[in-house]
Amino acid sequence: MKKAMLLALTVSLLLTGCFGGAQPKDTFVYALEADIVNLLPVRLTNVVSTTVSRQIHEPLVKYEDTYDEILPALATEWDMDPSGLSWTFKLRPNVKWHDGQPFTSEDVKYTYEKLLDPATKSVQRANYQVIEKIETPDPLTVVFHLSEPHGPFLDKMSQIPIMAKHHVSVVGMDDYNNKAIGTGPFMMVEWVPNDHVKLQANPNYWGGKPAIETLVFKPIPEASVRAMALEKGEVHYADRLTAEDYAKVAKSNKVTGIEVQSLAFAYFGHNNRNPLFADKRVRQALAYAIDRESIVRDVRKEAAIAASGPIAPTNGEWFNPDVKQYEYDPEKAKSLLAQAGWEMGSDGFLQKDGKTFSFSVILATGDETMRSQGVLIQKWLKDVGIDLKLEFLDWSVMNDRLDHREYEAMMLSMTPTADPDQYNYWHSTAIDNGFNDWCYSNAQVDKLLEQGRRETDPVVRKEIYDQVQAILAEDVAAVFLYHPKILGGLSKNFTGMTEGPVGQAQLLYKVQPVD
Amino acid sequence: MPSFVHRLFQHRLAFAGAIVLVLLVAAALFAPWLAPNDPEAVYPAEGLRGPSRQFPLGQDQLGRCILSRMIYGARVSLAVGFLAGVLSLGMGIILGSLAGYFGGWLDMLIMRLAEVFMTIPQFLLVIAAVAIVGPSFTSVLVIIALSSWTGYARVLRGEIMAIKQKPFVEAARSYGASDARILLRHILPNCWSPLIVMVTLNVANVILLESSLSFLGFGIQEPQASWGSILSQGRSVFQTAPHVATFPGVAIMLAVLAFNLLGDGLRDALDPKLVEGE
Repeated sequence: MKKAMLLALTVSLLLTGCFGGAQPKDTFVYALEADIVNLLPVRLTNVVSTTVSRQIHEPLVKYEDTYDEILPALATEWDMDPSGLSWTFKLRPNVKWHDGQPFTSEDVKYTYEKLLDPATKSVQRANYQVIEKIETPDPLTVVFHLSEPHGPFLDKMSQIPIMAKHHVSVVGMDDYNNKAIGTGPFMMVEWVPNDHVKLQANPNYWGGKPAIETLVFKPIPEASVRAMALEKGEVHYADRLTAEDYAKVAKSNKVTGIEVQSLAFAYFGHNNRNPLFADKRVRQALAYAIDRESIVRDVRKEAAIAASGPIAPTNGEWFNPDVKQYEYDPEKAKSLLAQAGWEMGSDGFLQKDGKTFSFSVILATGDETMRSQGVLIQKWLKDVGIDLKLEFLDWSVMNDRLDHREYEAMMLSMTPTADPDQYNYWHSTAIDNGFNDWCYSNAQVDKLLEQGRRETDPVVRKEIYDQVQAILAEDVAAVFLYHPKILGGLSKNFTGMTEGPVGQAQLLYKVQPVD
Repeated sequence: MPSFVHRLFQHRLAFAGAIVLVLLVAAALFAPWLAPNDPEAVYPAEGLRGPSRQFPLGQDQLGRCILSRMIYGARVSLAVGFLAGVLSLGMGIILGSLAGYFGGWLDMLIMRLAEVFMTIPQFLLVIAAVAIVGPSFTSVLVIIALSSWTGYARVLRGEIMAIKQKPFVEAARSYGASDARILLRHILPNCWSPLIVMVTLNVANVILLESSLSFLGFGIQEPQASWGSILSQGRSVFQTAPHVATFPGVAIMLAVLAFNLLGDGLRDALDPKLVEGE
């Protein structure tokens, strides 16, 4: 018996040796930029973890192909009380967790209560503090009571996937990844750190069993390696490719190119707390001195739209085109700097009170697009007499510096959601408790952002956010550069990829193998 | 001495290595005259074009001239190589001769220190140090030098321990010569041949180390270039524009090979057994 087993083992090992490279047709391999961090719905922090977590867990409502329409997910109907102070959600009946237990309103209540519990340490908490009380009149009804009306509430409900109370309350919230249980189309099989995450189709999914049986996520940090793996058929989907690789991949007969205009905005962000940038004319000079059209054309190879603010023109109604525009104009930049009291020194750099106009920008190492952008901006600023130093940092160091707001300037991009409520970016309290990395503080903007959140009438909200965009542009809260397109490719062996606006996780349950 | 030079030039590979090095040094010294373009001038609309008449080795992502950047980059690579080589040699000589000549607790202390340095992989040590003090030409140079003196010190210590037993040292001492005089005038001149071989090999190693550091983004910073940083820049476009990575890669290989060949030749030329055989 023992011998027979050994023999079987040996033969199977040999067979895997022979056929290890080939994957069954219903296995889909998705290249991630990095390994997942935490799949726990209330502790999601980055795009990568969200992408994986959203295949397992589902929120109450969701966006799919566009940002224009919110669709039902775990909730089938919803209704806002005329006062704006309470929202009632009717839940989808007969939904089961992956372990067979029924999904009920208690799970929703549990998820949001955990999110709001300071002990959970969720970075999303600040965004949900408007929730005062959650009631569950019956297993399929949830009522959220708010402390004040909240315009972006429904959008917020699309951000947090629901977790299983009976499960999480037992296994705990730490080391959750390998124990993840949700209601979604895929079920957790295993997570091998820095190697792969493996999911399996949920046969009892309320939306029907997905066509792909096995879904594998592989972290491949290097963009060129992702492109190569896609061409060789080792992965079936990869994105965030460089423009050069994308052009090559999209031409190949094995891959379909996928371009998605994202809502993200890339910026050159001066630290507004730094006295160097206290004068508005200096900030405007920076904006005039940087040629964003050249970055879009030469660095991004047209895979981007030049930006005038933090809301992308593709974000439907919310975009305000009537804001101050900064066409590339180095002469204007020079005259604004001269007005602000900066005089050209003999070394070609501006001087004021015996000090040279010199500062450094921090940017992440290893990203060629960022490097090119940095070198160009360095050159353009030199043209108007500003000495810019580039400080390339490893991601871990960079994050640390960002957390402590230790920089004169930084260059990054942010991915907002479709709702224009960017309170967490531009409100002065977000300098300490949010993502206001620019340390931007303007009393008028603060007031508008507070109003915009309270307001539920979209027409009034539009007016409020139009004003916010106009002030941010006039003030040059940051030098907005462009809204990038995400360049990706899908293997021609598969179809049905939801080409949704990225940032929101892509939903993979519709992907099908081609015969 | 003439016979040594003669022997070195008879060693064909070493001679080839020497010629390559002379050319590289010349390129570095006369960079402003040799470079066809300004190494920092950007032509963003002409990114990643292949070799042309104006840009003999093509252009990088920002349209900068790769040949010009490599010629200026030779200054960085060779300067770091030579200076770090000389600095670490100096440290090695001082510490090695103290340890070898005086022995005792001083020897014990210095050699244990060297062993501590040698137990940590040099590359890790250098990356950690650069991450702390920040990447720049000087920091890279000093850190590399600080981490590569141990080899010299150990070899020199061994040599000195052997030589200090020899009768001529005894004779010098009996005449009342001071320790410094014995060490500098009588012992060290007899130890230089293994050190010279080591320096050439060490310089090659340092060039490689600097390139690796720059490749990983820890070395020379934009807009300056070193061979390693251009190579790193070319990595992401290797499939579509192989010229960006290929040329600096070849340059690194040639420089390292040249130093190694020269080192090999020097070792043969300085080998006392061969000297006696003549």
